[in-house]
Amino acid sequence: MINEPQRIVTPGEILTQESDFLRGHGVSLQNNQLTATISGVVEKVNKLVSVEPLKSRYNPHVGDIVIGRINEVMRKKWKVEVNSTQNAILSLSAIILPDGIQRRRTSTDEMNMRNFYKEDDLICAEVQKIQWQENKIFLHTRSLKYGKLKIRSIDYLLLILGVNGYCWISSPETVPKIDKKNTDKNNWWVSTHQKTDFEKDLSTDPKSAKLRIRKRFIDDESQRYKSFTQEMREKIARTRNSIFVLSTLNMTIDPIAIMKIYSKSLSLQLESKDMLEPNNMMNLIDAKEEEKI
Amino acid sequence: MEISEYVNPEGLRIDGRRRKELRKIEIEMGKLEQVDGSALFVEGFTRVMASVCGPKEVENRSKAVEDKAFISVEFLSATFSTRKRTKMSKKDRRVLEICSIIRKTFEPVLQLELFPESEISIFIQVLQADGGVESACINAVTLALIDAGIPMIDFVCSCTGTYLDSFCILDTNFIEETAGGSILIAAILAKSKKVVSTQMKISRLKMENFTELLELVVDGCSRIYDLMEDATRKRTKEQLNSQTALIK
Repeated sequence: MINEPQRIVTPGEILTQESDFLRGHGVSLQNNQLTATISGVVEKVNKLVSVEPLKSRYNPHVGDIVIGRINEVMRKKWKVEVNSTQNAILSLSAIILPDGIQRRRTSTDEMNMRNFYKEDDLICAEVQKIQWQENKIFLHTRSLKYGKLKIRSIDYLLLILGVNGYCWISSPETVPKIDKKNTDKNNWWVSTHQKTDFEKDLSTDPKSAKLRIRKRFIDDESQRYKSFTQEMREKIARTRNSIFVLSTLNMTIDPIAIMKIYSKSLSLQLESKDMLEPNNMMNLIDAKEEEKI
Repeated sequence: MEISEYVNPEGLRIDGRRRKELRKIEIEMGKLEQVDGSALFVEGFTRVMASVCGPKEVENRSKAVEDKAFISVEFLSATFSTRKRTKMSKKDRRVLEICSIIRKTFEPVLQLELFPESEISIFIQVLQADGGVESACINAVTLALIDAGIPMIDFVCSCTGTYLDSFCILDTNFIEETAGGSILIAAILAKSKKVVSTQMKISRLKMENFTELLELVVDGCSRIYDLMEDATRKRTKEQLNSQTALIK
């Protein structure tokens, strides 16, 4: 009974009569019998039985890359909404300071927290630690891959699929400038974008350099929406709608699936605004199924 | 309109049903996009939409419970749902009563200890009220919670019955509910057949009649369970099929 492939259960259903199984997620012990507590698919690994729900809030794991929205600026930490059962915590010591220097966080940093991330900013971060007992998630942005998500413009797309179900579509500005010889991947941003300026300024007047960098950090926001081509907007809209088609139809979202829907919509000569009409949505999917066969 | 008899000599009720017959039940799950789980429960002309948000961070910090999730319930009855166009205020006695019934019914059933310091908010919207509203609400909430993937030990199913003209009647409509009989609303755990909550209205009932009525209502609940279980299974299967459709 338990070995049946893809067995669907509903809450209250008895999973197995045998008693030597361990219970995992979505399973509870009622009257000495393992019963399902959610509706989903039974999964069995050795002696561990669990039920996987087909729709639920984000269940975090250490190392997941997530996209979140800053909800609250608190003392020495930010609260980040990541579609989970609790808001995640990003502490001040878990970010890279804009000057890129590793040092203790001073009270000045604490005062400047809104300059780093303020309410409603979108950030990309990695899950660092989970405290199961208190149900707390800790994030970090200690790599330059992570951090604030800004609107930038250049001719190709940056797509981040957060494991928690949030996606970010934009065009990266600095990524094409990666120096491939530079082996330290985490530091490419500093090396290409900031370090040179910074060092130059530092040699002349360290104070002004500091100011300049802080100013740039703030100015970035005002650069939004500048030089955004029509073509670029069209691409972003099409990608967004491709993802939306997959999500509406409850399909697995991965880069290959997105690309297939994207290219299918182009070959069907659909405008991106028409992609979400039910008929067109079915056309996009049908075509995929044929390809598969 | 004066009604002389609620069950005629042929054993038929005013809407043509037999005494122990349920109305037609329709279930739709997961129709709303913006919430974690939602369900529409239609029973005859009664139509209730329930949606669930959460578990999520508590909105009002003072309401947070340290070791388990907190359930908040909001009940809205559309002005057009009843025969008289009346607007129920949020602090109406009936609204508060139904909110507390829902909360108390689901607290022991949900595994709240899995989500400390979180909140599960339940929104109920009555679109049409034609008897058995409380029961329909409980059923809709059960389905919405399942759709949201919140762990619960069992289905909670509810049904309404009344003792009228010395007959026990199952699944009352509006006319039967306002006829002045004793109304019993019961919610049971489907698998273990345990009664989680009961409610009596206008009660002056002999003990043996009460037992008969309770048995009838519990029987109705388990018949509703079959339909709900079916709908849940179908929905899960659909989700699974579409999810795996693109995996090669």
